Amino acid sequence: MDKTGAKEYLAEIANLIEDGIHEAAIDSTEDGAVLLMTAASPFAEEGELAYSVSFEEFKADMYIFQIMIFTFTNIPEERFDELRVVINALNSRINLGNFVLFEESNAVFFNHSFLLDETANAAVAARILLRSIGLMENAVVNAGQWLLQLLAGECTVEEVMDALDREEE
Amino acid sequence: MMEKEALTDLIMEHLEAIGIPCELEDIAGKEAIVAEYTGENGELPEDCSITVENLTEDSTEINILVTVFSGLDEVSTVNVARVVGELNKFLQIGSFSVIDDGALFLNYCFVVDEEMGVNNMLAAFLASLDAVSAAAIDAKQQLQPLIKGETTVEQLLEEGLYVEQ
Repeated sequence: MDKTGAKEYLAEIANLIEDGIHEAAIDSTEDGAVLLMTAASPFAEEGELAYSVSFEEFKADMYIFQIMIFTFTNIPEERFDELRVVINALNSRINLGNFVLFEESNAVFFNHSFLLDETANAAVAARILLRSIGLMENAVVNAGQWLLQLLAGECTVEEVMDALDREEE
Repeated sequence: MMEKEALTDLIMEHLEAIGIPCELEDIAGKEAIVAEYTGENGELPEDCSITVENLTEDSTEINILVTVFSGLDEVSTVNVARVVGELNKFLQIGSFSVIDDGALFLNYCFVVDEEMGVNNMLAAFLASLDAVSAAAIDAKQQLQPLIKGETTVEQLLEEGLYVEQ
């Protein structure tokens, strides 16, 4: 694993995880190379979810892989307070990954990162990525439905919190 | 396949070998490693527990849960809940969350694969534990003034919250 070869490494990973992916492309950003992928959205029949995967050096001999799923976008500012309350409640119940509200981009992302030794090869990284993405997608579907309903005005914060408490009982 | 019991034993052996006392406890029906782990400056998060679960034949998830605060009063719970999203925004690994009975947790769960080999699994675990504990201790220091009533949510957000890992 080598950051200078990040593009090649991410391309190798993209080839290994092509199942279920609609599109995959490697983009260059000021922070380095990013693998961008799209897959079917669990929330809308024709919709897509966008994923980004990047990696960088975390500390000596250790790299950090960061996966982001762009879950909800174009969120009006007046919904931020409600979202913060529900996101905190959801994050306290989710095992792997967490929702984050980025007010600056009016968006909610679902994030997860993991550390891997620099000697790990692309096949190992791809296996862990695939398994992690599978767990993230479960969380996005199960927990994200509450955010979807809240944003659609189909339920209130109180109703979501009551439902989450009932789920735990 | 590496059974969760075998990986749990390996983690405990590894922690003890590097001088971190730990023991196995039953927490809510789950077998958990409770570690007396301190950060680089010797501070101890309130509690640190580690659980291991097999996902498939060749993959396993390791969950690290650190209690940053417990027993917060109602006002502090509401205040900490208001800043928790900001703490999470730039956190590289893990997620802070506040629960109603006045506790702030930092949770981090990750997948390890048999193909990694035992040494790489343990290295990833230890680096993760280091990063999670460092974040918990840093968050605890930054939030103390809010809990003591020495600052407000608005002041804290204006000054900016960034947790070191």
